Amino acid sequence: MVKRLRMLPVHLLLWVILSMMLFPAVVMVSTSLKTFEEIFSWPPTWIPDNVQWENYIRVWFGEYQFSRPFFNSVFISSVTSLLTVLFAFPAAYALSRFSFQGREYLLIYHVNDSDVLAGCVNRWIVSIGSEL
Amino acid sequence: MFSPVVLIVGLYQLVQNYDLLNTYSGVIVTNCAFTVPMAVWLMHGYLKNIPVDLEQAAYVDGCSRLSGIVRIILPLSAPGVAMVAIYSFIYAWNDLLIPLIFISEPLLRPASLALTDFAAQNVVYWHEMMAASVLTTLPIALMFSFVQKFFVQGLMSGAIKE
Repeated sequence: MVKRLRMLPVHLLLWVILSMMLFPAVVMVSTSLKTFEEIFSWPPTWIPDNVQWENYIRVWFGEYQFSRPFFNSVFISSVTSLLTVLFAFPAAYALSRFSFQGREYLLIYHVNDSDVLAGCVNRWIVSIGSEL
Repeated sequence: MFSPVVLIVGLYQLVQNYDLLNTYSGVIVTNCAFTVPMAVWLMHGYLKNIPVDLEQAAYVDGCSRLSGIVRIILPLSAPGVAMVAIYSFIYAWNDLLIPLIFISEPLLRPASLALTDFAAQNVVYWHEMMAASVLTTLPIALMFSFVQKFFVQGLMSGAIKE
Protein backbone atom coordinates (compact mmCIF):
# COMPACT_ATOMS: atom_id res chain seq x y z
CA MET A 1 0.00 0.00 0.00
CA VAL A 2 2.80 2.38 0.98
CA LYS A 3 4.62 1.42 -2.19
CA ARG A 4 1.52 2.17 -4.18
CA LEU A 5 1.22 5.59 -2.61
CA ARG A 6 4.83 6.30 -3.39
CA MET A 7 4.27 5.37 -7.01
CA LEU A 8 1.21 7.62 -7.24
CA PRO A 9 2.99 10.72 -8.66
CA VAL A 10 4.71 8.55 -11.25
CA HIS A 11 1.40 7.01 -12.29
CA LEU A 12 -0.25 10.41 -12.46
CA LEU A 13 2.56 11.66 -14.68
CA LEU A 14 2.23 8.58 -16.88
CA TRP A 15 -1.51 9.14 -17.21
CA VAL A 16 -0.92 12.77 -18.20
CA ILE A 17 1.63 11.74 -20.83
CA LEU A 18 -0.64 8.97 -22.11
CA SER A 19 -3.60 11.32 -22.48
CA MET A 20 -1.42 13.83 -24.32
CA MET A 21 -0.33 11.06 -26.69
CA LEU A 22 -3.84 9.76 -27.21
CA PHE A 23 -5.49 13.16 -27.61
CA PRO A 24 -4.93 13.49 -31.39
CA ALA A 25 -6.07 9.92 -31.97
CA VAL A 26 -9.26 10.46 -29.99
CA VAL A 27 -9.96 13.71 -31.82
CA MET A 28 -9.41 11.85 -35.09
CA VAL A 29 -11.93 9.13 -34.26
CA SER A 30 -14.41 11.63 -32.86
CA THR A 31 -14.17 13.94 -35.88
CA SER A 32 -14.56 11.04 -38.29
CA LEU A 33 -18.02 10.37 -36.87
CA LYS A 34 -19.36 13.91 -37.14
CA THR A 35 -21.26 15.73 -39.83
CA PHE A 36 -19.52 18.54 -41.69
CA GLU A 37 -21.52 21.14 -39.71
CA GLU A 38 -20.81 19.62 -36.32
CA ILE A 39 -17.03 19.81 -36.76
CA PHE A 40 -17.17 23.59 -36.40
CA SER A 41 -19.79 23.67 -33.63
CA TRP A 42 -18.83 25.38 -30.38
CA PRO A 43 -18.26 24.06 -27.75
CA PRO A 44 -16.71 21.03 -29.50
CA THR A 45 -18.30 17.71 -28.66
CA TRP A 46 -16.42 14.52 -27.85
CA ILE A 47 -19.25 12.21 -28.78
CA PRO A 48 -21.13 13.37 -31.89
CA ASP A 49 -24.87 14.06 -31.53
CA ASN A 50 -25.75 11.74 -34.37
CA VAL A 51 -23.02 9.29 -35.19
CA GLN A 52 -22.14 9.27 -38.87
CA TRP A 53 -20.86 5.81 -39.78
CA GLU A 54 -21.74 6.78 -43.34
CA ASN A 55 -18.49 8.79 -43.48
CA TYR A 56 -16.53 5.56 -43.58
CA ILE A 57 -18.76 4.00 -46.18
CA ARG A 58 -18.63 7.13 -48.33
CA VAL A 59 -14.84 7.32 -48.10
CA TRP A 60 -14.30 3.63 -48.85
CA PHE A 61 -16.92 3.02 -51.56
CA GLY A 62 -18.11 6.50 -52.50
CA GLU A 63 -16.64 9.26 -54.62
CA TYR A 64 -13.16 9.02 -53.09
CA GLN A 65 -12.73 5.27 -53.72
CA PHE A 66 -10.28 5.09 -50.85
CA SER A 67 -9.89 1.33 -51.17
CA ARG A 68 -7.70 1.76 -54.25
CA PRO A 69 -5.02 3.98 -52.59
CA PHE A 70 -5.26 1.81 -49.49
CA PHE A 71 -4.35 -1.36 -51.37
CA ASN A 72 -1.70 0.54 -53.33
CA SER A 73 -0.17 1.36 -49.97
CA VAL A 74 -0.46 -2.25 -48.84
CA PHE A 75 1.31 -3.40 -52.01
CA ILE A 76 4.08 -0.79 -51.89
CA SER A 77 4.74 -1.34 -48.19
CA SER A 78 4.74 -5.14 -48.42
CA VAL A 79 7.12 -5.24 -51.36
CA THR A 80 9.38 -2.64 -49.72
CA SER A 81 9.42 -4.69 -46.55
CA LEU A 82 10.16 -7.93 -48.44
CA LEU A 83 12.93 -6.40 -50.54
CA THR A 84 14.49 -4.74 -47.50
CA VAL A 85 14.72 -8.07 -45.72
CA LEU A 86 16.04 -9.78 -48.87
CA PHE A 87 18.81 -7.20 -49.31
CA ALA A 88 19.55 -6.49 -45.68
CA PHE A 89 19.81 -10.06 -44.39
CA PRO A 90 22.74 -11.23 -46.57
CA ALA A 91 24.52 -7.91 -46.04
CA ALA A 92 24.06 -8.07 -42.29
CA TYR A 93 25.15 -11.73 -42.29
CA ALA A 94 28.34 -10.90 -44.16
CA LEU A 95 29.07 -7.97 -41.87
CA SER A 96 28.58 -10.05 -38.75
CA ARG A 97 30.50 -13.18 -39.84
CA PHE A 98 33.38 -12.15 -42.06
CA SER A 99 36.07 -9.62 -41.43
CA PHE A 100 37.31 -7.72 -44.45
CA GLN A 101 38.85 -4.38 -45.29
CA GLY A 102 36.55 -1.43 -44.78
CA ARG A 103 34.06 -3.35 -42.65
CA GLU A 104 33.97 -0.74 -39.91
CA TYR A 105 33.72 1.99 -42.51
CA LEU A 106 30.72 0.24 -44.10
CA LEU A 107 28.95 0.00 -40.76
CA ILE A 108 29.50 3.66 -39.90
CA TYR A 109 28.55 4.70 -43.41
CA HIS A 110 25.36 2.70 -43.19
CA VAL A 111 24.34 4.31 -39.94
CA ASN A 112 25.03 7.81 -41.09
CA ASP A 113 23.58 7.94 -44.54
CA SER A 114 21.48 6.16 -47.06
CA ASP A 115 23.08 4.41 -50.02
CA VAL A 116 21.39 6.63 -52.54
CA LEU A 117 23.06 9.68 -51.12
CA ALA A 118 26.38 9.47 -52.91
CA GLY A 119 24.89 8.65 -56.30
CA CYS A 120 22.17 11.22 -56.53
CA VAL A 121 23.94 14.15 -54.95
CA ASN A 122 26.77 13.48 -57.36
CA ARG A 123 24.33 13.55 -60.29
CA TRP A 124 22.79 16.72 -59.02
CA ILE A 125 26.12 18.48 -58.71
CA VAL A 126 27.18 17.29 -62.15
CA SER A 127 23.95 18.61 -63.66
CA ILE A 128 24.42 21.97 -61.93
CA GLY A 129 27.96 22.01 -63.25
CA SER A 130 26.81 21.47 -66.81
CA GLU A 131 24.36 24.36 -66.50
CA LEU A 132 27.08 26.80 -65.55
CA MET B 1 21.30 11.66 -41.13
CA PHE B 2 19.55 14.50 -42.83
CA SER B 3 16.19 15.01 -44.37
CA PRO B 4 15.38 13.16 -47.62
CA VAL B 5 14.05 16.46 -48.96
CA VAL B 6 17.65 17.40 -49.66
CA LEU B 7 17.99 14.41 -51.98
CA ILE B 8 14.76 14.87 -53.88
CA VAL B 9 16.14 16.74 -56.90
CA GLY B 10 18.83 14.16 -57.51
CA LEU B 11 16.46 11.27 -56.86
CA TYR B 12 13.94 12.69 -59.30
CA GLN B 13 16.55 12.86 -62.05
CA LEU B 14 17.68 9.32 -61.34
CA VAL B 15 14.16 7.93 -61.34
CA GLN B 16 13.29 9.86 -64.48
CA ASN B 17 16.34 8.50 -66.28
CA TYR B 18 15.33 4.96 -65.39
CA ASP B 19 11.76 5.59 -66.61
CA LEU B 20 10.35 4.79 -63.20
CA LEU B 21 8.17 7.86 -62.71
CA ASN B 22 4.53 6.92 -62.14
CA THR B 23 5.30 3.29 -61.35
CA TYR B 24 5.12 1.30 -58.15
CA SER B 25 8.70 0.16 -58.72
CA GLY B 26 10.09 3.69 -58.56
CA VAL B 27 8.57 4.29 -55.14
CA ILE B 28 9.49 0.82 -53.88
CA VAL B 29 13.12 1.04 -54.96
CA THR B 30 13.51 4.51 -53.45
CA ASN B 31 11.87 3.42 -50.20
CA CYS B 32 14.23 0.45 -50.06
CA ALA B 33 17.23 2.72 -50.52
CA PHE B 34 16.17 4.61 -47.43
CA THR B 35 15.29 1.60 -45.28
CA VAL B 36 18.07 -0.86 -46.16
CA PRO B 37 20.95 0.93 -44.36
CA MET B 38 19.05 1.06 -41.08
CA ALA B 39 17.86 -2.50 -41.61
CA VAL B 40 21.41 -3.79 -42.20
CA TRP B 41 22.61 -2.09 -39.08
CA LEU B 42 19.78 -3.41 -36.89
CA MET B 43 20.11 -6.92 -38.27
CA HIS B 44 23.90 -6.86 -37.92
CA GLY B 45 23.51 -6.22 -34.20
CA TYR B 46 21.07 -9.10 -33.97
CA LEU B 47 23.10 -11.60 -35.98
CA LYS B 48 26.26 -10.82 -34.04
CA ASN B 49 24.64 -12.21 -30.90
CA ILE B 50 24.04 -15.61 -32.49
CA PRO B 51 27.10 -17.75 -31.72
CA VAL B 52 29.19 -18.87 -34.70
CA ASP B 53 29.55 -22.29 -32.99
CA LEU B 54 25.95 -23.11 -33.87
CA GLU B 55 26.71 -22.70 -37.54
CA GLN B 56 29.95 -24.64 -37.29
CA ALA B 57 28.06 -27.48 -35.64
CA ALA B 58 25.75 -27.45 -38.65
CA TYR B 59 28.74 -27.61 -41.03
CA VAL B 60 30.06 -30.63 -39.13
CA ASP B 61 26.73 -32.30 -39.70
CA GLY B 62 27.06 -31.70 -43.43
CA CYS B 63 25.31 -28.40 -44.06
CA SER B 64 26.68 -26.07 -46.70
CA ARG B 65 26.94 -22.41 -45.75
CA LEU B 66 23.67 -21.60 -47.48
CA SER B 67 21.69 -24.40 -45.86
CA GLY B 68 23.33 -23.49 -42.56
CA ILE B 69 21.95 -19.99 -42.93
CA VAL B 70 18.51 -21.16 -43.99
CA ARG B 71 18.16 -23.90 -41.37
CA ILE B 72 20.00 -22.46 -38.37
CA ILE B 73 20.51 -18.72 -38.60
CA LEU B 74 17.25 -17.65 -40.23
CA PRO B 75 14.95 -19.34 -37.67
CA LEU B 76 17.07 -18.04 -34.79
CA SER B 77 17.04 -14.51 -36.11
CA ALA B 78 13.28 -14.50 -36.76
CA PRO B 79 12.61 -11.68 -34.25
CA GLY B 80 15.31 -9.57 -35.91
CA VAL B 81 13.92 -10.26 -39.37
CA ALA B 82 10.40 -9.48 -38.16
CA MET B 83 11.56 -6.22 -36.63
CA VAL B 84 13.29 -5.14 -39.84
CA ALA B 85 10.23 -6.09 -41.88
CA ILE B 86 7.95 -4.06 -39.62
CA TYR B 87 10.32 -1.13 -39.56
CA SER B 88 10.43 -0.92 -43.34
CA PHE B 89 6.69 -1.59 -43.69
CA ILE B 90 5.87 1.31 -41.39
CA TYR B 91 8.43 3.53 -43.10
CA ALA B 92 6.91 2.86 -46.52
CA TRP B 93 3.36 3.20 -45.20
CA ASN B 94 4.00 6.57 -43.56
CA ASP B 95 6.09 8.06 -46.30
CA LEU B 96 4.46 10.96 -48.12
CA LEU B 97 7.39 12.71 -49.78
CA ILE B 98 8.51 10.02 -52.21
CA PRO B 99 5.08 9.19 -53.69
CA LEU B 100 4.26 12.92 -53.74
CA ILE B 101 7.21 13.56 -56.02
CA PHE B 102 7.20 10.38 -58.12
CA ILE B 103 3.51 9.65 -58.61
CA SER B 104 1.10 11.90 -60.43
CA GLU B 105 -1.21 9.22 -61.88
CA PRO B 106 -4.33 9.19 -59.63
CA LEU B 107 -4.80 5.40 -59.82
CA LEU B 108 -1.33 4.64 -58.48
CA ARG B 109 -1.36 6.88 -55.41
CA PRO B 110 -0.78 5.29 -52.00
CA ALA B 111 -3.01 6.14 -49.04
CA SER B 112 -0.69 8.78 -47.57
CA LEU B 113 -0.94 10.78 -50.79
CA ALA B 114 -4.67 10.17 -51.24
CA LEU B 115 -5.30 11.67 -47.79
CA THR B 116 -4.24 15.06 -49.12
CA ASP B 117 -7.22 14.96 -51.51
CA PHE B 118 -9.66 15.87 -48.80
CA ALA B 119 -8.15 19.32 -48.45
CA ALA B 120 -9.64 21.35 -51.28
CA GLN B 121 -8.56 24.85 -52.12
CA ASN B 122 -10.88 26.70 -49.76
CA VAL B 123 -12.40 23.98 -47.61
CA VAL B 124 -11.08 20.92 -45.81
CA TYR B 125 -13.47 17.98 -45.48
CA TRP B 126 -12.29 17.13 -42.00
CA HIS B 127 -14.89 14.46 -41.29
CA GLU B 128 -14.04 12.47 -44.41
CA MET B 129 -10.32 13.06 -44.03
CA MET B 130 -10.43 11.79 -40.45
CA ALA B 131 -12.47 8.75 -41.48
CA ALA B 132 -9.84 7.95 -44.11
CA SER B 133 -7.10 8.57 -41.53
CA VAL B 134 -8.68 6.08 -39.14
CA LEU B 135 -8.83 3.53 -41.96
CA THR B 136 -5.17 4.19 -42.78
CA THR B 137 -4.03 4.01 -39.17
CA LEU B 138 -5.91 0.81 -38.28
CA PRO B 139 -3.74 -1.80 -40.06
CA ILE B 140 -0.51 -0.35 -38.64
CA ALA B 141 -1.97 -0.07 -35.14
CA LEU B 142 -3.32 -3.64 -35.28
CA MET B 143 -0.08 -5.03 -36.69
CA PHE B 144 2.02 -3.19 -34.15
CA SER B 145 -0.05 -4.40 -31.21
CA PHE B 146 0.60 -8.00 -32.28
CA VAL B 147 4.30 -7.71 -33.03
CA GLN B 148 5.35 -5.11 -30.46
CA LYS B 149 7.07 -7.84 -28.46
CA PHE B 150 9.34 -8.77 -31.39
CA PHE B 151 10.02 -5.14 -32.09
CA VAL B 152 11.25 -4.33 -28.58
CA GLN B 153 13.17 -7.61 -28.39
CA GLY B 154 14.85 -7.00 -31.74
CA LEU B 155 15.77 -3.41 -30.97
CA MET B 156 17.17 -4.34 -27.56
CA SER B 157 19.45 -7.08 -28.78
CA GLY B 158 20.59 -4.90 -31.66
CA ALA B 159 21.41 -2.09 -29.26
CA ILE B 160 24.07 -3.87 -27.24
CA LYS B 161 27.53 -3.50 -28.67
CA GLU B 162 30.55 -5.00 -27.09
